[in-house]
Amino acid sequence: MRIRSVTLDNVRRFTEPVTAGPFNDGITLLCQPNESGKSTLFDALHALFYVKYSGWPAEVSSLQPWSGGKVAVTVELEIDGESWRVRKQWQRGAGGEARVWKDGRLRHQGDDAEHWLSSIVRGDGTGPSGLLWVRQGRVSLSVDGKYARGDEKGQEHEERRNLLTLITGAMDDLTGGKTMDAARDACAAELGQLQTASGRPKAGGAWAQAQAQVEALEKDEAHLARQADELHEALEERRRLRAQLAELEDDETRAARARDLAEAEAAFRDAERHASLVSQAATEAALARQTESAARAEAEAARALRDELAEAGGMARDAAEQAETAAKRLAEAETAWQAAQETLKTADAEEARARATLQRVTRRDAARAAAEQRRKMADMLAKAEDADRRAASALAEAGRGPDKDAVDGIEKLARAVDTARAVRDAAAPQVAVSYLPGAPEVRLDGAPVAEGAAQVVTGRARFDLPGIGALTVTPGREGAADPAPEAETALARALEVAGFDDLDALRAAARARAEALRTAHLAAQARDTLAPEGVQALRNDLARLPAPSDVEDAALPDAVAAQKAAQDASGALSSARAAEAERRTRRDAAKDAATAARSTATAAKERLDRARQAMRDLPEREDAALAERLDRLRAAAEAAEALHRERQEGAPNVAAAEARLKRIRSVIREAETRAQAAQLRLAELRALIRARAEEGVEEALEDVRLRLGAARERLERVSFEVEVLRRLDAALEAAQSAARDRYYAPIARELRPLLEELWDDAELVWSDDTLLPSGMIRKGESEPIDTLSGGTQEQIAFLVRLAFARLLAKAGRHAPLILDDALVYSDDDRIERLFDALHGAAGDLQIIVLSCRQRAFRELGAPQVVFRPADARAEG
Amino acid sequence: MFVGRFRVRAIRFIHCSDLHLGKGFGPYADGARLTEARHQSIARLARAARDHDAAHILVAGDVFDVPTPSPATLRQGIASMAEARDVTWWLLPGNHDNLREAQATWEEVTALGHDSIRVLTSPDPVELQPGAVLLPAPLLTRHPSSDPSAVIGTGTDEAIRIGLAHGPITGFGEDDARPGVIAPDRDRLAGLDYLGLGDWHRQMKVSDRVWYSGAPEYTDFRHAGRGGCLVVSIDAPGAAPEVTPVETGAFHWAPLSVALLPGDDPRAAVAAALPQTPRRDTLVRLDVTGRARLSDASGLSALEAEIGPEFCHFAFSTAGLALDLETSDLDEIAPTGALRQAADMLAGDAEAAELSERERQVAAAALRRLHSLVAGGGA
Repeated sequence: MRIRSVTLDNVRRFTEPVTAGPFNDGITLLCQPNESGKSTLFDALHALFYVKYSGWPAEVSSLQPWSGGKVAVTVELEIDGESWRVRKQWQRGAGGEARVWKDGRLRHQGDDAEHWLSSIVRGDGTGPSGLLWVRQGRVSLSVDGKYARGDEKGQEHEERRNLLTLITGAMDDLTGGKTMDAARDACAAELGQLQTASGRPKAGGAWAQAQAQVEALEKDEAHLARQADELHEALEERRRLRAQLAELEDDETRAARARDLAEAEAAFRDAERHASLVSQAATEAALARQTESAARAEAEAARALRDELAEAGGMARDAAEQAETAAKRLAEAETAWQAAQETLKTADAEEARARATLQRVTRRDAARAAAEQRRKMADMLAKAEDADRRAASALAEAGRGPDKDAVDGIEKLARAVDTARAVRDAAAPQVAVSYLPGAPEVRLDGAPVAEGAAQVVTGRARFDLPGIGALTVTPGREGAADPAPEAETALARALEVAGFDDLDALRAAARARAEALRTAHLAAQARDTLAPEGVQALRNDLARLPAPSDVEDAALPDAVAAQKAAQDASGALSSARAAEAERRTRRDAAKDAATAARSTATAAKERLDRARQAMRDLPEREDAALAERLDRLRAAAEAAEALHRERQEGAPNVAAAEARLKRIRSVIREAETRAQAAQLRLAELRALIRARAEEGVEEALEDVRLRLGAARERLERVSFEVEVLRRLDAALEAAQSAARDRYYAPIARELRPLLEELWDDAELVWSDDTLLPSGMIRKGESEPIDTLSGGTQEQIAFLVRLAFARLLAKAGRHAPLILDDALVYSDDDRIERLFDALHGAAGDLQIIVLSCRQRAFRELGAPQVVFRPADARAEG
Repeated sequence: MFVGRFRVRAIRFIHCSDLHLGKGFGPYADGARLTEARHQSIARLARAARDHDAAHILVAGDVFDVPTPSPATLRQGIASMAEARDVTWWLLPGNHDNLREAQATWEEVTALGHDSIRVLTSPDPVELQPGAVLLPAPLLTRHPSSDPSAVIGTGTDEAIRIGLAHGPITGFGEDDARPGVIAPDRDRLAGLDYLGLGDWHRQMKVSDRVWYSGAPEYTDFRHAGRGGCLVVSIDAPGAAPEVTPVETGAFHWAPLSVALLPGDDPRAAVAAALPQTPRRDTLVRLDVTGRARLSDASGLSALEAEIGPEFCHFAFSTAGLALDLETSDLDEIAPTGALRQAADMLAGDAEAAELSERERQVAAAALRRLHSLVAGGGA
């Protein structure tokens, strides 16, 4: 949006229409002395964009001239290349109007025009206003701390705003500023009354109280409901009991029960009486039948006795015969057994004799074997003792010879002598003689020297050469050390110590010793073979052998024959024993048979005697009389049974009559018991119902339920309030946070190059809490913002506004920047730098500068406009 | 007048019902006065009887609010009735004091032995005066399974026949088939000259001979105005009854609903809706619905605190009030910036169809609160 011209009609000093413009893109200057209408223009523009036509607020009334009348402002706009004209007119009471034309045609009016106007000023609503105002001394904090908008006279402080208020205004537009803070504080305070930091109902708060009230009333309701239920149950039970009691105590019912009882008792008595008659008939029938049975049994017994007598007689005869036969067999068995006993005695004696003979033969053979063993052992002992003696003798002889160490030492010395001599002889001259045939023998030291044999000359030697003389040979090294003598001396001394004359003697003694040792060894071996446990042990064994005994062996058979005879005798004895046992068994069996036969005969005889006696005891009856008696008794029994059956068939059921009687008596008793219990329970219920009624339980319950309903509604309202405050707080926080994120960093970024145009190496320090500059760093030195000069603060504010405008322009929203006496503290040098910054930032921005400082702003380098009488079209 | 063998006198009586003696009004600030008003209605009914020269007061059920009232409720209520010696009270058990649950209560009333108080515990006809019989239909249970008035037998035309029953009838727009509903033509079926009904707290004429008397004192906001009773005059058997409503209620119940349109002055609309009755004896439940500007809605919040205390009871709800948001309303919060963004966010949520009704209401209330806090629309 760009403003092209502004027409004021009846606005303060302009009672006649005037127009300011045209305002081009870039910077336009309206520079006129004070009281020439610059602030009027500013205020009129502000009213046009922000004050509704239908009202008459102070902001509008301040625009009305003293002469009164309608206040009208018209502005020509260019939006996205299209021409718009907006005219707003205010009048006290009714008569205000707002109209919007596009390309000369009316497009909006009234509230519709206001909507349109609001939309172009607000943009998307999230950022600063589409019009950016820089006017010092027009907006400030009101007395009550609320952020005052507009320029209502009497509420604002007409003081020049410093940097903080200017920046605050700008940032407040974004973040809501103190208004936002106040709203959030109020919201938090109200919420804090209701909930804790963790979102739970705060103790003592309305929310917690509402909850507590609901819970308490729910508890009361439950308690009263239980009591009411108890009351209702008691009432219901009482109703039931009364009905029951009425039924139980009903006269007709009671009379009917009494009748039933009397009838049941009479029936029971009749049944018992009849049952007695039945029982009597049954007894008589049983008696008759018993008499008949006894008679019949008597007849049967007589017949049986006769049979018994005949049988017992036969059996007695048989038994007597069998007893006689058994006695004979017993006598025979007895004789056979006695013969067997005699045979057994003979066999036993024979077996004893054979066994004694065998023992004597055994002893005799043992004595013979012992004598032979003694002889052999004595022989072995003699041989062993001889070997032992020989071994001792050989060992004694061996002990006299040189031991092996002495022999080895001397042999070693002998080898040293031989070595010394060989060494000497190897170095000594050798003389060999070759004889001419017939030549005389050469003699050495008197001994002839054989031909060819080399003679070693170890010392001076004199050869007698017959016929020639003597030849003396002297070895060249005569006088030099000869090892042989020393070795020989050592050997001789060793031999002497050993007690031998020469080496041969020594060696012979050594061989003799070895031979003696071998002889001792062989003798010891022979001894150990004969007496492995030693000679003394052998002697002891010999001594332990029994002394030789004298055993008579005349007429004794040899051992085999004696053994056979003993075995034969033993076999005969066994046979005799078996035969005796068999005969004894037979005799015992015969004895038992005889005893049994005698018992049988005795028993048969006794049975026969008893039968005979019984026959004698039987009454004498005739068979015909007996039969007649039986028939009579049978008829009597049948008559008695018929009577019993007859009575039995018509008998009433005693058990049923008794059961019915019992049941009726039980019913009556039960009715009485139940009636008593009901009376008792009714008394209890009366007390309970009275108690509950006196407590007014049902009324209290109804009342509590009403209260509970109200308390729940109250809780719902408070909960709703909590939700509302939470929602509001969340919305405010989210919006504030979003605004900070959206504008804080971009504005700081836009501001940085603008700052550099005024101050080298300058940077603003921003407060995270307030989003306001808290200081300025120039050439590395930080200065708190409130210590900066008024001019510097003013210039920073100016640049912040420019940054906003640039930010909006980059977002595609061109917002005219209107500066009304924005630079009053800046010196000429600084103001020129600001002009440079303004030109640099202007680009395609529209900046309208209102100022009374004609001289200072001469250097701005911008086209100037003035108020001029408006033409007719501008008046709409 | 003679009808057949009988000399018939015209009869005039008071028909009332639903005294609900002892009913509590816990949540109401003046609950004790409301309870007391139930008791005071006895004296007002007696006065109505005297004023209209009626010798009988027929109470068509629900004398007591609960089956087993407190001794004070029972004894004081009966004592007040007995004090009006010149009238006879005919008390019919209703659903609240039905015979099954309130048997002990009615026994106690009977046991008190006041000649002028008659408890109608059986459907047997009783003579009100020579030539006029009362045919009661006491409720045996709280929820009868059949038409309780069916016990009223048919009769001759030799006496004035007055039926008395308690319960709903068909035609209330409820489920007509449900059990326990009184046949609205019971007067014709039973040959009654008049059928006095109770249960419905508002007076209602069912037909020329069938009336609900209404409660002498209303108990809640289901019925607007004041309670009352009926003065019934019947000259002769078969004659059309003359029925005259008489107001007896001490309290005026005003369930109000004010539907606002954008541009309406909400305060003026509410003021116009309020009844012009003594406020101390008036109970108001005010539901403001419709649509209102944000500033107007915010301003309404203070109304309850401003005028509520003048009334016996004043309940105020704007839950059904939708916001009619205009840009200028939101401009009053903030034309731009974060505050405006928050306001826009809440305004959007208040209208968002994808949100629940509850969430929309919360958002709308939060917006009103924001307006109050920022634009000074009242807390």
